[in-house]
Amino acid sequence: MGTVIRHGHDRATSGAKVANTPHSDLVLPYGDQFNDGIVQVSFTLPVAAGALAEEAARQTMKLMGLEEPQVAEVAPIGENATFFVGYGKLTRPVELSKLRIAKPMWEELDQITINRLVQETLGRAMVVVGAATGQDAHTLGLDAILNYKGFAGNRGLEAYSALKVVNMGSQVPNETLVAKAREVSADAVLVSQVVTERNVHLANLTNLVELLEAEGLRDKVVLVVGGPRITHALAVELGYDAGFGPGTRPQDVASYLAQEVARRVLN
Amino acid sequence: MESGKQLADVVSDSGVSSVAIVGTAKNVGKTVTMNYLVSELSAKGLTAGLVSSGRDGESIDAFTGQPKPSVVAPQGAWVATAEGVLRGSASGLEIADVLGTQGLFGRIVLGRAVEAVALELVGPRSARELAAIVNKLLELGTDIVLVDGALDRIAAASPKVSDATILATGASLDMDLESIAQELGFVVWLLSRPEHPVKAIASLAREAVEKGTVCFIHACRGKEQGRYTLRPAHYPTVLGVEDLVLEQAGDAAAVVVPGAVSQAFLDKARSWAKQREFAVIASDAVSIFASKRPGVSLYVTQPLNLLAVTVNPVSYLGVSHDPREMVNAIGAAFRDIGYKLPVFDVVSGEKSIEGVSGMAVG
Amino acid sequence: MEQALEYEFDRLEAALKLWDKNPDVFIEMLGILDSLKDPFHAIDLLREGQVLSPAELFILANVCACVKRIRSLQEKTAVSGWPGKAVPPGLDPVDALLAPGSQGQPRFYISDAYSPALAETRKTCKQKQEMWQREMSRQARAVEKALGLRIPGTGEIAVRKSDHDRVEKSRSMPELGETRQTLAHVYFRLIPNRNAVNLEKELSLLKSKQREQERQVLRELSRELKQYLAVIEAASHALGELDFLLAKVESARSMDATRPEIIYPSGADDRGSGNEMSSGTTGEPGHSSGYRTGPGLVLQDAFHPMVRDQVEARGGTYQPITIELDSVSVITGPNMGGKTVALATAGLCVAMAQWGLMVPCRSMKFSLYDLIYFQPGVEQTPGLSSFAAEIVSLKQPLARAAQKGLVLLDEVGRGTNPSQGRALYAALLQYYLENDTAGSTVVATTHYHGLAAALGVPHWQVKGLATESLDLEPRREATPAEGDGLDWLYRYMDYTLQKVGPDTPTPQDALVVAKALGLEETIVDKALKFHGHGG
Repeated sequence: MGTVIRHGHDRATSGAKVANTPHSDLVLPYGDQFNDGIVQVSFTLPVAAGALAEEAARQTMKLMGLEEPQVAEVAPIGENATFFVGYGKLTRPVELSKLRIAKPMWEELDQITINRLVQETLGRAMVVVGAATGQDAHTLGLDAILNYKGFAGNRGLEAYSALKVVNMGSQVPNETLVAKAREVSADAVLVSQVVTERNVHLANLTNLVELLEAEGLRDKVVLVVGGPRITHALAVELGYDAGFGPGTRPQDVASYLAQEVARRVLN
Repeated sequence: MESGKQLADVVSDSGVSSVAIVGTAKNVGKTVTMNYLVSELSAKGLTAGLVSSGRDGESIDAFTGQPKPSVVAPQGAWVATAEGVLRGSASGLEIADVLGTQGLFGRIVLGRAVEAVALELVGPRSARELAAIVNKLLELGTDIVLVDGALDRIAAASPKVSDATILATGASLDMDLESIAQELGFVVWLLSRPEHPVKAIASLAREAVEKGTVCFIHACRGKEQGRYTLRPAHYPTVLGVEDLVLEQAGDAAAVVVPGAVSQAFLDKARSWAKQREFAVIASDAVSIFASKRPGVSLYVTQPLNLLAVTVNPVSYLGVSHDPREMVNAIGAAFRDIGYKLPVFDVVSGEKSIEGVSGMAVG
Repeated sequence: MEQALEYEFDRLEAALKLWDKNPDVFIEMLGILDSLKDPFHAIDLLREGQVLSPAELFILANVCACVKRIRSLQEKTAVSGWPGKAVPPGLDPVDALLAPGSQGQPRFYISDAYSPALAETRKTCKQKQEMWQREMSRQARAVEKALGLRIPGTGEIAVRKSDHDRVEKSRSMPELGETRQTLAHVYFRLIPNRNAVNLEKELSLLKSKQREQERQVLRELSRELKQYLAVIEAASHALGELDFLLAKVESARSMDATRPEIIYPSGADDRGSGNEMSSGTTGEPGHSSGYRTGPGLVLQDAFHPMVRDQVEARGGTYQPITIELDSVSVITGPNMGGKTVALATAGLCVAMAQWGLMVPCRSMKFSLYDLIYFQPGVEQTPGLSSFAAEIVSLKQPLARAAQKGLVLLDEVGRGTNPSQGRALYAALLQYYLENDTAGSTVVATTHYHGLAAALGVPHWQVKGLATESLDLEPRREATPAEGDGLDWLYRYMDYTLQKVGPDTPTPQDALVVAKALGLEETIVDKALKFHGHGG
């Protein structure tokens, strides 16, 4: 139920209601006791060790939303920086029932079924173009999905007779990827990207969507992004059809591609 | 800009039937702008329609993990969103259509808010589907559709999707006020690209975009002088073939690119244009992928109608600017480059609490 | 089986006639069917006794609206003219359940009309909400007056840090709570007073009560709808049937297709009129070899719709084919002369006819086949040469040789040694001539010229470029082609099939085509000499 007053004050929803027994819908970090909200943080400030630095550390923790911040460890790093370990308390719980996890809308198929599904729906092999785009020099994830040998005993997309894979490697500019997708009449475009904290890669991912739109190709391809920080929900927000996070096996991607293409052909 | 005119007035006075709210970055206040507009436009007696080109109004940002404002549809407004995110509040909606488009969150549902509802908007994946939904909302009796662009994507601003555009920007874009103003000046310049001033060229350019191939426009010589002809280059795109396309330019007055115009192409076109009059014509501003002023004449076949700019002085990283300073600095930057574009901060804007659509329970 | 097809063609013909008489009605009907949403998920949920979501209920309301409109259109065109299955049963009781008090467009809303208790809750909710708003506004005005500033639309007040007095005053006001600070500002929000807080609590309870009452409405509605499951399902199937029928009619109209004439197997005089047949009696066909000894396949002015579209798109004129096929026949002709297209056209016409579709030709006579075999061109199979793949594929029709087949063979053996390939092809055709008792029709395209004569079977030849001499130059100049000579070929190729006797000379088509496509003239001349010596 959880009533939230949009323009009300934050206090209206804070603290109080959190149960201190397990199986609660409202959860807080577990420090010493269930739902006590105690967390440990560590960080470095560019301030020389001393009273000023410690106060700065406490303020930093406050800005993180931690109540009753305590500095537990102070270690000078060189002349003008200090490393801190601190404890603080979180009071705003996460409401589990309000969370929505975007679940995959496809089922896992085996290699034979995938090949047959693609052949039956397209009447030919599906053309899959894969690339690690932008400045990303990592191809590990991409290769694990595309290369014949795959990983963890799960063969890569190249091992599927109904998938024709074009692996463009790493540091591929979006423009080159889009040009290739057009050249080979791609049915699917797979992008591997390490989305970093600073969001630079994020802009690159949306840029690809915009390029495909401008080229009139967005509707013609199944657009998939994968990487260690990628989730389905994020992929949707970025304008992709699906996103695959860490631990994804080639079979997961192939299952999705086969079913998504089948769905589009049938519609 | 007329004094006392608010953003909602600018929008309603423009008479457009759809407005895209696109952002220069994440967290620049698109949802705040959308909520403000929908509540103000409803107060003016207009029936608003809400749709997103991505995902909007979710309680937690999928990327930064920050809480985000929900979208509030006032009574009588129309919304389009995925059924997968409706479960809680579908009861406030009178459902008028269910579209086959199946995304990660299910089919898209179109409905009218019978009472004010706070909800999450999830839109379709492609601009083509988005345009179809905008039209559907208008058919259902919406006066004005507000299209929320996702993240920093501006495809929603495409003239194929919406009639006019509001550019949302803010402290997320850059930390320093001066660089924000400068960067914005460029974005506004880009989004304001006009048609080619020569009518005959502009009309041939539209024809070329229809054809879907890269074309050159040549001036006729001799007694035909003053007339122009269209010559297809047999390339559907310039991506990856920038040089090959330009090698065929000959004495062309312009090249028309129906797809994406990349920075690489603009750079090459600039050196090509050094010795002659040469213009690049894109289909619309959202198809131009320039990161700086290209140094070559740049036009479009379908100009955007840029109505206003909104600023969010606060970024989620905690950087903030003085709203008044920011609005003034940006307004001045626009004037410097010759654009009289109204700038608003809807957060600190003058409005009393009676204007808010009130409480929405989610 | 023949009767089932005749029945389907009767339906199609009736619908085509109705269309010609009432084109506007049909256009409108297509529009209505276009707005239909797939109701079968909702139907499954109903059957399982689950609670339908508002979206699923809308879809059912939409089915009701479509049925209503379709039925009224069918009345305009005389319902009696419509085949039974294409007329959906009325859904008035369902419609009444789903749209209490609504009119026109299909909509679904859990309206007050479903539950007086829900209506009451909503009313109270609204009142309390207004009271809350008044309370908050009063507070807001008090704050605005005290601070001398206005609270913006977002409800958050930004006070400049440099404005120390105002910051302090704001902090001291019980109505305000500090929310956050930035470099230049301190932000405040209104804290609801005791009245407002009480109202919030009441509202929160009311809202959850409202939710529960709404869920109750959905539960009851789903339960009530379940009793109409059969009629909803029947109507949905009828709409699907109608949609399919109209799609077939539309495609028949768009390609000006005709009804094929089905030749009945001799000895089985079971021709019946489809109109008199009830839809249930589409019995399985008698199925034994030797039973079907019909005359094969006769096509007049048949065309391949996709190829025709391509030809017309490049500004050409499509030449349809006319051919009579029975037992084993051989087709020869130049490269690019349309031999493969002829095979594909024959296969397509038969397949369409057996699927109950009007066929793309002026007239067609055929008897039903048990299988159609066609393997055009060289299919890439990993690990197999084209010849090996062809042989592996050929085992399919041979394994079903006891059944009556339409076997379309496209230059079998082309991928191997010519003399052995020819021998193999001849043997394959001979095998059909000697062993087929099911009445199969075998059509073989080839470049081996004496094949038909050697086997004593009918020989059809593409007219091609045969009547033209090798003197191509003036023609090529007359048609400035885009360099590859294809346009010239398209223009001067005569795709007509003609039946020829065993004495017909072998045309020099290959060499003509090679020259037309721009191969070095010296090579073509040399080839002519070689051909003269060998031939």
